[in-house]
Amino acid sequence: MTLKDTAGKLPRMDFKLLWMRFTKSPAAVAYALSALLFALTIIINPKGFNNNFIGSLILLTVLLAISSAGQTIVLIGGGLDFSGGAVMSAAAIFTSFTMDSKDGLFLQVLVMCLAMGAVVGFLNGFFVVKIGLPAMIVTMAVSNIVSRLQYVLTAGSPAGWAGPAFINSVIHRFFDVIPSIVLYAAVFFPIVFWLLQRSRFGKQVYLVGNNKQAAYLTGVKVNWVIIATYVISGMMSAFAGILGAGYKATARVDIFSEYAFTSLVAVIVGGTTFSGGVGTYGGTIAGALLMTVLSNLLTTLGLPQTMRDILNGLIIILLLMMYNRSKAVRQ
Amino acid sequence: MKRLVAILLGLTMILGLFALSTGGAEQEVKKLKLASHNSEVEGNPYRVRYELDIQEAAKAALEKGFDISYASFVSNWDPATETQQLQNSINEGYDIILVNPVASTGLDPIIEKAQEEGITYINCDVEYLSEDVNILNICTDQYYLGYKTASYAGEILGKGAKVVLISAIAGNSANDFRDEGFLKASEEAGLEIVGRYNHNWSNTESQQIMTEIINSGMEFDGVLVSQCADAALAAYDTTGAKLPKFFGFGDTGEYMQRVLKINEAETVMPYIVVSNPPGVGASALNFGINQIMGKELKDDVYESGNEKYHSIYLPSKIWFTDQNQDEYKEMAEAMAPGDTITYWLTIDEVAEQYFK
Repeated sequence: MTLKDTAGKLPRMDFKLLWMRFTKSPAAVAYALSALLFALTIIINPKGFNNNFIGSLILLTVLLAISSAGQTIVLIGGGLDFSGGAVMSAAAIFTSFTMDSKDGLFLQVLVMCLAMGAVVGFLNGFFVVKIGLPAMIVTMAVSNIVSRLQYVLTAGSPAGWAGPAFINSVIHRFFDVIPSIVLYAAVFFPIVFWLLQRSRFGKQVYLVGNNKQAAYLTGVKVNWVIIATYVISGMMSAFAGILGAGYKATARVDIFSEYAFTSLVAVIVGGTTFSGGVGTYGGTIAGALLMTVLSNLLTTLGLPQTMRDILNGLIIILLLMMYNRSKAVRQ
Repeated sequence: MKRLVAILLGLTMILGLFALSTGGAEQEVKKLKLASHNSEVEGNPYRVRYELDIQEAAKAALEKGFDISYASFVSNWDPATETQQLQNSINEGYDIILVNPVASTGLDPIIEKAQEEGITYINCDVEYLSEDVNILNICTDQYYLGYKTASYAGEILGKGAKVVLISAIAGNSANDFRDEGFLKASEEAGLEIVGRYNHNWSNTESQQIMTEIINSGMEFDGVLVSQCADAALAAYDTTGAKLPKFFGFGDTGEYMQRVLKINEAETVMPYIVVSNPPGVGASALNFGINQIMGKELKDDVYESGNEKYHSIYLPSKIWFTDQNQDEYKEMAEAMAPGDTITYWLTIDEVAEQYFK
């Protein structure tokens, strides 16, 4: 074949290959499903296509995506973290208590909450690695301790409100549509992407999640990498809790406990597997978007709550079945 | 002289007897062991306050000669754990068992066992619906909370207005009674309920569901919500949507502070606060103490309740709206965001109102 021949033909689109690539990318599927459900929501209820809808969708997706970041890293590293909801709640309580309707305390809150998250994460990692207990049991136990401490330290009734400027920095709408939480996302998302995809630590996390033995033989300090994933997870959950306090303006004991489950679902739906070593943060963001759009659609359908709960559960199970069928890498 | 000695001796004897009788009264302080069983405490400010109120009422009982030691058991919504914990309380010889149950049925055998052991068993807050056991149910009049809210919404919005109803958990007796009240008053006032939802007593879900209702573009004039009103109201902040023409009911510090701020200068959004006092557990304890004192309930005690289940519905005593908010402003602003309005009936008030 001459150069002339090839220049005369347009490259053929291999749709089969594209389709295979598409279906093998959970993130792409999650984005596509989100778009589909989004379109369905608008078709069912055209009035629903408004600024509030778009803005809330972005806000709730970003909050869920930030709260799921730590879980993504831990899961890729082969672990599991159920303490995210408790850490988020504790950070939200600390934020509203410390700010107490005053501005100018963000840095203080940030440092204290990140330190608290790091300590909780370290405890998780330490017990998982050094004592060898199952991650699910350890992180649930630590989660219970963090919840109990919230109760004891606040007598069950946390005081205070987040500062007005801080609340505004989370919920303000640019052009009546884009919530200001995207500014936090603009800083946070690239850090997570860099950490997982570009840094040496990220490569080690994937390696450890894929095969601990192989990682060890290549010189990776496996235990320290695992502990570090839990520490980072704790810090990221704490950061999500700070933003959560801005979103809700005040906090309660265990206010974000449900996020321990929803964040895990978002991560799995986004293509990160329980077996470890597989997943991306882009997928998690897609998972968070899908969960938010799905919840919105079920409300728009106006079905009885019981039916909404059943449908929500069934769809989540279906998605989890679709995404978690990849074989674990042999150890 | 003899007379003087006799008088002095007599006085000494009287004083001695008085001293003995006083000392005797001190010795007659009766020790009681109280077990409070709850389906949930942490994460639920209402239940937190409920337990704190019981503790305060237990301390206050000392004035009436009852030294009550208190222990709390939480089943975290697990009926099996609840049964196990109740069984332990019976075995450990508690005198009073207060139960805020996981469900409205299913505890008959354990109740019978407690009663066989002579334990004062009182169910409170979530009504226990069994005709086969004879226990006292002490609950707040939940029907009234829904009825009062929807009635006031009707007054404000007028006939034909559209409202959304956000209930708590379907199947929960307190929620179902409230819903009956909401529906009855809505029907009487001619309100059209254009959407029904549940927040499952979760602040996070309440805010999310209200956000999604606003997002849907649905047209409605008012919001009827079964508590968690603070979080539902917060959804208006985060979406920036226009406030509805009516909101209610809630009874937390956060809800009251939010609505007071909204209506600070003028009435922007009519609302109602109706109290569902967590002190109902403390009132229930004082019913138990009266029973231990050997008193009998009045014959007409179930008139404002349900004789079939031996239920006494305590009325909600505090409610206010945008019309009379100034009277309650100080109280509301002093409360922590998650705290709720509370009060309870003392031993004497219970005796006077409900016992012979």
